[in-house]
Amino acid sequence: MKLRFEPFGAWVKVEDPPAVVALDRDGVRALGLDGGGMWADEAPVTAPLEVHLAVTQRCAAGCEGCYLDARADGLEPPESVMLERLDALRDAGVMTVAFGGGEPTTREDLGALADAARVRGLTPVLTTSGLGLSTAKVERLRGFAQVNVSYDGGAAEYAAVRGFDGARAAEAAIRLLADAGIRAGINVVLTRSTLDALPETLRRARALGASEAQLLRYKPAGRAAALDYLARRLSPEQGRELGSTLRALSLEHAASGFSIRVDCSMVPFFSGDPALYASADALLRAGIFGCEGGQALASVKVDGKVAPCSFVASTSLSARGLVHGHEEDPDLARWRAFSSSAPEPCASCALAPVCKGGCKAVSLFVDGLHGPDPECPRVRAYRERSAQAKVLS
Amino acid sequence: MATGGNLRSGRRAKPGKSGRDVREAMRDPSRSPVDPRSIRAVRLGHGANCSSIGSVVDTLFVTALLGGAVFAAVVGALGREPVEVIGKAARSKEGAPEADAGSRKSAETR
Repeated sequence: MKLRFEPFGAWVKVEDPPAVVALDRDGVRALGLDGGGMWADEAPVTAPLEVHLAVTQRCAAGCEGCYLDARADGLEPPESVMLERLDALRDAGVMTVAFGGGEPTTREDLGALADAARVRGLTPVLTTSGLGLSTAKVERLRGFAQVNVSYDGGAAEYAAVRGFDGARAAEAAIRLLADAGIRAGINVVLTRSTLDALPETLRRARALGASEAQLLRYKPAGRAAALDYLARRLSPEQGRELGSTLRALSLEHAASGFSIRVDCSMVPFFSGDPALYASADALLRAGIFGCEGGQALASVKVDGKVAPCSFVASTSLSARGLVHGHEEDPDLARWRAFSSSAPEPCASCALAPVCKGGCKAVSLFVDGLHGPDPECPRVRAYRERSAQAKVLS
Repeated sequence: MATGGNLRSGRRAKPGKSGRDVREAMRDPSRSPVDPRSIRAVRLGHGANCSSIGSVVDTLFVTALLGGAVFAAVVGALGREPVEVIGKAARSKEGAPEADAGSRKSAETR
């Protein structure tokens, strides 16, 4: 297992079962270790746990909602540059590196990069569209701990998100990966028109051999940063009902070992579910992450610049500077500071320690500022009350 | 209380493949079982999304029995798996200028 000292104790990545564990200082001492200076009162900010590494900007799929605006002739750094970036992640103490793009499987050296990550003590995982994935290409993916295929549902749902029907190719890729014994998951982008099909989408993926589904909120970045975002995003009612949706899906799949994840941007919707809203401690104990930009999450874009996440503008920090810059970079510091000085209604929200204000990519696009997530049910209700109060006064 | 693996006879830390220390904890007399109450959070699984960080949620909705089993399995791993210190503390040990990182040396000399 890998252990990284933190002010509270340490983050520990164990292999069996695969998990990242937050251990307090007594727990670390039980392992025969001591945090020393890392446990001083003026505790330093450490490093991301997980980094999303864009290994190419090339992709011919042309998805309408691509957050990267990937293109067939996009930038692709040489292997030597990618190895330097992996060195930087190792030096910073990163635990998991998620390879993405563009379409990463277009790289001939992808298997070598996965092996290079392993040698550096990083756990490599991968997202692919699955388009063009062959048996030969699958062999290059054996170094990855998990491979997720973008799969938004059947033909209609897939096309509704990406502008073309790639469902069959994605399904074939899931099957290929599973048959090869590679742990496969799916990434499902949820939009207003695809949410209803989600139960069937998960059933189909599970039948194909997928072990996990990660549910992603549609975000206004890259080619999706357009006016039609407002029509594609989840409706207020769908957002409020998300807790019930997850509850039903979890109960359906729990016995099979098929697990369900939500991405960081989905956590604000939990405020619309009374039971989840009352369960902040349980959410923290389950390691649920809301907005972790500047904290547990960072993105290294294809030009090597670090961003708080893949959906927002880069900072001036380069991957090579991450080991010191994660603490010192003013943009990352501003992201970190949000949760401790958040305005209402986040300031009084029981879920704030988990959610951390919701998705800033959404607030930047919709409100034009780094503020509370405007699609959070609690934020919506607060704003409606404020608007009514103004009218009455 | 789940206690994980047993302690065996002592053995010093050895360097890992990546130049970091590996402490073979089960053979380390300074290591004792981790109290489950010391576990503040458990993030299950690897995930594999390249654009946003994900968290397993199904354990929130299923039985407490399963939640307890997850914690027991994690405690077992904490007692069983060798430890490799990474991050600033590891850099400090390797001679990088991380004077404030502390920790690694104190960890080794225990």
